[in-house]
Amino acid sequence: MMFMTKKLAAQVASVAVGASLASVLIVPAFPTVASAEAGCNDGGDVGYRSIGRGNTWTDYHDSWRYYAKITDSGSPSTKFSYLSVADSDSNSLYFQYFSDDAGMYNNGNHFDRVADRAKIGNQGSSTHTYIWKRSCTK
Amino acid sequence: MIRATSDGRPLMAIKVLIGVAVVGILALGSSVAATALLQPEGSDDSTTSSMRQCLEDLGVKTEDSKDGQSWGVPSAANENVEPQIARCEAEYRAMVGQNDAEKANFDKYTRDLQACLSERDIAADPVWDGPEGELSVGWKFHGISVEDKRVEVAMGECSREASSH
Repeated sequence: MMFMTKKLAAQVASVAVGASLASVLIVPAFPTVASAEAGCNDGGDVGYRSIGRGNTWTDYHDSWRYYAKITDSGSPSTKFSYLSVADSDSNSLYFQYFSDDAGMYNNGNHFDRVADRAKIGNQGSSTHTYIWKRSCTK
Repeated sequence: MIRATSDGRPLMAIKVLIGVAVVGILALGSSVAATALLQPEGSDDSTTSSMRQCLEDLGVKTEDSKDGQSWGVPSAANENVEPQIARCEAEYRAMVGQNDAEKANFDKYTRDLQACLSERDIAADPVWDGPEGELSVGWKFHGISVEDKRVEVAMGECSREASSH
């Protein structure tokens, strides 16, 4: 059985408080790799975006898989929208057209490819709104 | 029948009539040409200025996807196609125009979409977080998850409604 003097107890308490303070001060100064990956540890992200005709929207994230589909299937010219992904390391690039086809609408369009950049382009004749998702590959 | 007289007045009248007709034909012709140039594709199956046709016209090789429902620009068959892609995007953008009227149309679509969502008890704000000059907004939702299926359904219905205005 260990007996602790008042002085020793004070020293232990001091060290404990110091360690606690240090952890509070040190932890935020050294973020984990995951948190530095802009949400890469949370499984993914999803959002909606409206894009005018002749315009594009680009998302830049390292090592993500992308998925997108048009929300307003049945509107004019939806098949002239596209999703492209590019991996700068391998210089690969791939396009996929959106479609009004029911199967395509239900399944959406996605890329099982690691990409550094995804772009939704609207080459149609009116503004469209798209839902996009990205999932981390790390 | 118009007869020419020594003072030349009927002849002048004929010249004026011909001049008016020529001006009218020229005006009609330029109007038709402008309509053809500015008419964006979309509701028909025309692919004359689709991205794929445009890229192929510039020598970019494309291929159908395995399921035949999309197409791609395979990296193995192409090198550095970014300039061609940018050109095709720019050509279409130039055709439809990126001016104050286009911006006004986009703003109206955004307002109508937001109002439509509100009528369905979905509070959302457009967020202009894209590059300067790009007609693109993200949507921020309040009191409902972005992944709620009701959001996707409402977005589809409201976008179609906003597009039709």
